[in-house]
Amino acid sequence: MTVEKASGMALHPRVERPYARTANLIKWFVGLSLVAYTALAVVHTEFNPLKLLAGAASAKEILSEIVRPDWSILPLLLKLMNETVEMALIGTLLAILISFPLSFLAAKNLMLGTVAGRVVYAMVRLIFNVLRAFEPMLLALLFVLMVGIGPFPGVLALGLHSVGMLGKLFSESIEAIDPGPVEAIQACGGNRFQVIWYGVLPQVAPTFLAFSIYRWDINIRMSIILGIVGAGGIGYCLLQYLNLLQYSKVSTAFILILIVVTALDSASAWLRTRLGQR
Amino acid sequence: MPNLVCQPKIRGMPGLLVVDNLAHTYPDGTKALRGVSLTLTRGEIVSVIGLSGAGKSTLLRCINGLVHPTGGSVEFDGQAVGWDAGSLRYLRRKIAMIFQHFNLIGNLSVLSNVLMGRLSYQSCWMQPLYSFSKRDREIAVTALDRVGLLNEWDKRASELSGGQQQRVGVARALAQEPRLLLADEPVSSLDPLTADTVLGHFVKIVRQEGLAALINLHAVELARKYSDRILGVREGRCVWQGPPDDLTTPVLKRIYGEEYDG
Ligand SMILES: Nc1ncnc2c1ncn2[C@@H]1O[C@H](COP(=O)(O)OP(=O)(O)O)[C@@H](O)[C@H]1O
Ligand SMILES: [Mg+2]
Repeated sequence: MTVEKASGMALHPRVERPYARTANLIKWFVGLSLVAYTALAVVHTEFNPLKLLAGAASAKEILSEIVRPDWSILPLLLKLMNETVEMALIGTLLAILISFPLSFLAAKNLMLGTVAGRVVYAMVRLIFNVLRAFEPMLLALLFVLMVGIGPFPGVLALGLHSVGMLGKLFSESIEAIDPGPVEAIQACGGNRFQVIWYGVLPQVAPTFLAFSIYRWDINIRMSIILGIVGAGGIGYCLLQYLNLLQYSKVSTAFILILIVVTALDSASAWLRTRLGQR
Repeated sequence: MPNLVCQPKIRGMPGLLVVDNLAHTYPDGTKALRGVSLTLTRGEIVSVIGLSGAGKSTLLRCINGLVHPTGGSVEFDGQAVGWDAGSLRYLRRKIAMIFQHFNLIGNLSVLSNVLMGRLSYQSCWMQPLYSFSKRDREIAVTALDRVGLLNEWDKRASELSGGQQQRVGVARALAQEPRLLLADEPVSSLDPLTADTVLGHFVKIVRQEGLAALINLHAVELARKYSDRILGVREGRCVWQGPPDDLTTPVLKRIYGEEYDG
């Protein structure tokens, strides 16, 4: 089949593509534009490795402080790190609570049967997409303005963004279920609720749990960053040390973040593989 | 082609299931059923045979409303079946179904799967909690014992072999305390030896409990061996029915087409 097609093409070269010349011109134009834009970007971003080397030399003082972390602030940092993890936890739980019920309304296989179902499906999908489009950083800035500096705006920002992410992942795993058991529950005389609760939920529960843990993991890292815009936790503290040029304290914070994030990362990976094997 | 056969009600015994001129056209225009009539009496085991695509699955699924018939009527236990949610729920409580691919919930335990047969009896407030009354649990345990899998009750359903999974499917159906069992190619995904054992076991239980069964079968041999009566379906119509002994080669040619050899 492919061979026939290929030989056919060879017999009638370019006959089927009268716009080949124009297409070629466009290709060249797009290619050259991309190269030109990249060159411009190098200039605009002042990309210069030499500058980095020079900077490193002048940062000797900073480096000498960084290699001597100040362990006296460890108790305070631990408390703030804990706050960061808690922010991520509450934000993720909030997201799970909202996206769990909504995700069923955003699953094609459950909703496309009726006109009303289609409308609800489209609306919930839209909500998820919009929420995902808002970066947590932007949301955090907004909420800091609304409710003031502290961990609460961070929780709200993480929560809302995660609703979009989890909702999408949850509803996609609902769409991937085996319809057989669902039909069996129907045939047993199950009502609509039972069909969802006994036919769909057991099939998606492990995936839902894995996605949730993964999201918490991501949110811990994100909440450190959110601190920098005033949304509490260790990030906020880190920003203050940077502003006050207290590099040995910055160093302690960095080390702590590195250890905690790595530990939680592998813990969540381990948990998720356990779920996968179950 | 007119319907060749419409089984009269057996003397004095009202039909448990009376299907009259049942038709179904799928939304894409496929005429899967073109008017099938049949009667099942209590304690009767009837097999449906026919080529794949003949409409056997559609027939079974129209009877318990998984597919809404587009024509004809179904009468169960003397009552005409309506297709609203309420009467379907009652109907499906009394008519259990067994599937080719078992349709168990692999993540749940064997016993939980059997308990699914009690869903239509589960009280409202217990529904979200995955909890069942003592009576429901006793019935499920009895059903599991009936198929000889009581020892495996807390295994995950997906850990069982194919034959065992189908026995769980049978237990789930029995737990409904049904009057009629519908089985859609119940042993087609099992190896021939297991298929015979599982089907034999199933038929034995149906007989002991005095239930009726309508079974779609792929293998003519199994139909001959286990049923009281056989129905031949071709292109959405019932083209033959009779006792297993009357299932001769000319009849099989009528059901399966002239190419049939066996
Ligand atoms: N969901 C469906 N939508 C459209 N056509 C279908 C559907 N299910 C089955 N059919 C068609 O209906 C006919 C009968 O199918 P089925 O009842 O599954 O036959 P059997 O069980 O005897 O193999 C076939 O032509 C099949 O392709
Ligand atoms: Mg079939």
